[in-house]
Amino acid sequence: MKLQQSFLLFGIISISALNSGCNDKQDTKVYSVAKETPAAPHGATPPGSVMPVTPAGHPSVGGITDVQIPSGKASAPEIDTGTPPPQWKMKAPSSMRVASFEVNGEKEATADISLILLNGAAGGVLANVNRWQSQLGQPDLTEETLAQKAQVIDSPLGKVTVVDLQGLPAGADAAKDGRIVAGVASTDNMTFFFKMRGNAELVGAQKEDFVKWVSKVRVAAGKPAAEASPSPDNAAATTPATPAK
Amino acid sequence: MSMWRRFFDFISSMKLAIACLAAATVLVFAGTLAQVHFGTHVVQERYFQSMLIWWPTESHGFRIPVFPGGHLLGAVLLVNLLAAHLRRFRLNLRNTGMHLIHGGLIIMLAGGLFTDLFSVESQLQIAPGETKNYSEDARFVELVIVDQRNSDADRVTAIPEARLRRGGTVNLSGLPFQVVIQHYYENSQIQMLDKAETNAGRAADHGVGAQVSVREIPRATSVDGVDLKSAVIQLVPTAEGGVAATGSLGTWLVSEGLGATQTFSCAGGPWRLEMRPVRYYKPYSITLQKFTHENYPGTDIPKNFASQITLIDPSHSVNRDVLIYMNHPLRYAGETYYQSGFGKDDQTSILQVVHNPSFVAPYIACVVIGFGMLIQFCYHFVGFTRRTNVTRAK
Repeated sequence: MKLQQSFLLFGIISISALNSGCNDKQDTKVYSVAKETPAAPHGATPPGSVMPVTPAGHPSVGGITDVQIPSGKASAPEIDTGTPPPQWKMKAPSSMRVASFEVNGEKEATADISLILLNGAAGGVLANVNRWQSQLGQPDLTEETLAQKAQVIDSPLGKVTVVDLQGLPAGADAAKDGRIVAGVASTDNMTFFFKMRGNAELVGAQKEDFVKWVSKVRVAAGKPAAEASPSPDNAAATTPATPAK
Repeated sequence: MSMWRRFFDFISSMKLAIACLAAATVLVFAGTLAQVHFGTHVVQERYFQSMLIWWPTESHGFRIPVFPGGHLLGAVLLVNLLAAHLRRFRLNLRNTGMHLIHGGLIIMLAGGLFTDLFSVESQLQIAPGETKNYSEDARFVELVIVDQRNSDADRVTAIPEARLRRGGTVNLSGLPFQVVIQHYYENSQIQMLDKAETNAGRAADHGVGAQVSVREIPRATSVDGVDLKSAVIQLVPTAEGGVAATGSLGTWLVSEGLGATQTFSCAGGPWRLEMRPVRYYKPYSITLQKFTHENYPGTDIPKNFASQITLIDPSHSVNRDVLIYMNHPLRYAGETYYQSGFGKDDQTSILQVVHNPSFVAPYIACVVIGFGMLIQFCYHFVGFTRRTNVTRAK
């Protein structure tokens, strides 16, 4: 009996140890990887894009030197902002902005153009339109008034709701403020905010170009914004191949 | 009767096995119902991959255990089987089949436990022409702090989700600052703020967090629902000896919901902050050469997906092309790559990466159990035949 009891005790201790101590999901890891530097072979590079990471001593792999790898669900997918109108001056993207431009008009009139990308619904269209309304010192819109004001255009990102809002907030410089033309596009798991804000006359003059630009912005081929999370379409695409456990 | 003997009787009793099986039935039933409220992933974690089920489930404070979890039930059942086997083990032909059946069940249970503890599943999403040497698990996030001061390589410190959830101060050796986790959001909503709005609504005072607000929302429970995990952290410089120095590098919002990484300067160089899916780096790399997706003619029903890849492992002088397609995975370096799906644009291939050191356990268990049943059947069949012959002879 003593031998059996010893075996049993050993079994209990082993299982307890396995259950409690063999999980490294709580450990902080430190490691080195090949430098992930933004590549800019075709002009401005969106933040979050990185060069391919290959192990140390890795031989070169033909035809991939220009490829950028999206760094996963948390990072920005690679955005193809197309060719912006020539009069727009490109500004450096910030940690918030995927693309940033400035356009100048007569009498020091300026307008600022930006593309911002957030995961999730980011509050929805109405909440964001009302946020822009408040930036112009204007009252909130309702769903009904928004539906009347909004224009929906097609783009590679899907439907984009475009609004044209006017108003000069108290104390603002009319040369730099007074009108916002903005668009909101939602994919399965991301929201794209296009915005042009500045001098009312200049924004009006640039509106056509802005809408054209919005309608061409897309996620670069091979890096779909919606692929990062499971979606009904992706779920349907799952093969019957089941990993053996 | 000694206490140890009583314990041995209890742990090897049939009653305990039946109680465990009954509890497992209740657990599966309760876990199935709970998926409506918590989603598959959370239920799997709380009900089946835990020792105890706690109530209230969402509280971080006082909680009481209300039912044994999957790990505890499995472990007790395994010990019960082992004990019963040891107690009743008699080496003779009559019991050989039963011993083998029990042995197979023990292998299966132990294999299940090992799989749960040691297997790692992740995904490799790769577009044609891309080369990757890591896979990702989007179910879990990690906060990575990347030291970019070295011109040759980046030094990555990855703080796992479980640690972020615990909060408090994370002391990171080798880093010139501590990370104080002020708040962790299991699921969050991020909204941009007006410039005119007060500072009170800001998620943080540095980086993107200064321009957005963040609020906690209920966790996603649908099959295709995704939680947007976020955290507000403070970076506090450390002096020599690990004692916190005065001042702060500010509070930062890190989130899966941000469209870009954030950078800051410290100790004479740039650093990067990012909340991203957990990454598993490999000592080899995979380049996707071509991805094909075929449907049945005239339908959108998938017929076949195939990924033509090049596997490169300089340390083992491996450089070969492999075709991965449905039910024909690549097995390499203890990992199995299955063709799992594709991206929406039909360009990106998604490979399921499975590392499971005990994947052979179910196969061995089935063979052992089958063999045991065969022996048991043959033994009884021979006995029955003999008895029949004796009866006929009479």
